[in-house]
Amino acid sequence: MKLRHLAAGAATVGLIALSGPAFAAGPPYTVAVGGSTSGTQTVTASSTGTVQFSAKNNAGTIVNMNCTSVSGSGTVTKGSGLTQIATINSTTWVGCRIPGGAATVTQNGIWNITGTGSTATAGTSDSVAGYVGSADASVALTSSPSLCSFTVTGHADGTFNEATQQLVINETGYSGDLTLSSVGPCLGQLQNGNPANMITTLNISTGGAGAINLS
Amino acid sequence: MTMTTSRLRRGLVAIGAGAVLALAPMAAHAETIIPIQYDAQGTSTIAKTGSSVALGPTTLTTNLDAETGDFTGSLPLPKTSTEFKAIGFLPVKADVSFVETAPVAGHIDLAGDIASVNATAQYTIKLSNIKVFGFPTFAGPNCQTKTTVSIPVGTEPGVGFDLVGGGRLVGSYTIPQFQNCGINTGLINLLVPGAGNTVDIQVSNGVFL
Repeated sequence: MKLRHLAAGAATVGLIALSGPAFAAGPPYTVAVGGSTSGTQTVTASSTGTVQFSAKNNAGTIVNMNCTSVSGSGTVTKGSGLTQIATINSTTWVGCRIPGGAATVTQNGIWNITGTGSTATAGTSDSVAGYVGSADASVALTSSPSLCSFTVTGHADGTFNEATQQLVINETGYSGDLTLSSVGPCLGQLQNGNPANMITTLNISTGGAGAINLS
Repeated sequence: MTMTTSRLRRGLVAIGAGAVLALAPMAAHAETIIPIQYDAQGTSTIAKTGSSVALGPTTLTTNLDAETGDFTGSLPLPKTSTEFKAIGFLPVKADVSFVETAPVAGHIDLAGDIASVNATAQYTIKLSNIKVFGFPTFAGPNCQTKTTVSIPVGTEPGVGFDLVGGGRLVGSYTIPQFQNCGINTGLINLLVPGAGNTVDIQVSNGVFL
């Protein structure tokens, strides 16, 4: 019996050891920009395409809300022992629509990018999982009075790809990581607490300071 | 005395809180009616005669319940005329009036990428100044459909409606029998009533009042 447990334990350890990349690390990370690991680095971000955003209402109906693009600026914190890698200080959303018309999206507060993945190595081609946290944005139909407005808060899962220097936001499954609040009136077809998805890919630029690397 | 005052104060606070709680749900469910006006213009094609009837230009006025997506409204249609050939060669011309018999009633749905609209307008159709071969014929002032004409319209599948910009509304409807058209009653009922008549209206320039 004990031997069987030992064998099973050894097999599990073996699987874990084989499944991860060599020297892979999880949070906290060492964050470098162009090899530098001290201070902060201003970065800009721009979406490679549309921003797909949708909510599932109480009836289970999916209501899509998309933007043609988003751009923003933020700050990467360099150094070691870091879990929160960067902040997103401001964003500009263009061409946003919700069913029924054009919409505005306004960022509230400062968002953060926090790492969770255990795949960071000294190499330059890791994809490290994480999320955009403290996300808080106000969305409103541009009609006056606005027939629909709400706030989206929570966090959106994503991955930072070192090779492409892209932050891929892929919050799917209406998990409740992102939810709607202060909904009104939206023709009664969106409700407080509705879960939301968000998908977009952002090119991250350090303005010539070099690539961002997590290890 | 102090105890009594304190109890009284606590009681009043409780009553006040209760009143707030009692009022809060009412406020949350209060109807928010938003009046919106749109320009509207379109055509209706009469299936049996193959003729077109101009609809508008006119103004579609709606009162949208922003809490539910339901709306009621009015789409008054100016008098128009139609012309067709009966039995393939007999030119018939008539003035056509759509008289509203009930408010337009509809609903706006948010789903997927779009807002879709479904609505029903109801009219009595009146014919006047009927001319056959260019000669006036006596139809009387009350030549009209026996029953209300119900015209359901909506956005096409997959095509959205912009609450400000408007959109295209299409539908098909049945024209009932006519009555009180004098010697023309038989001819009109032979030529006009029936199903498969279409309506195509472009709604635009929404103004929130």
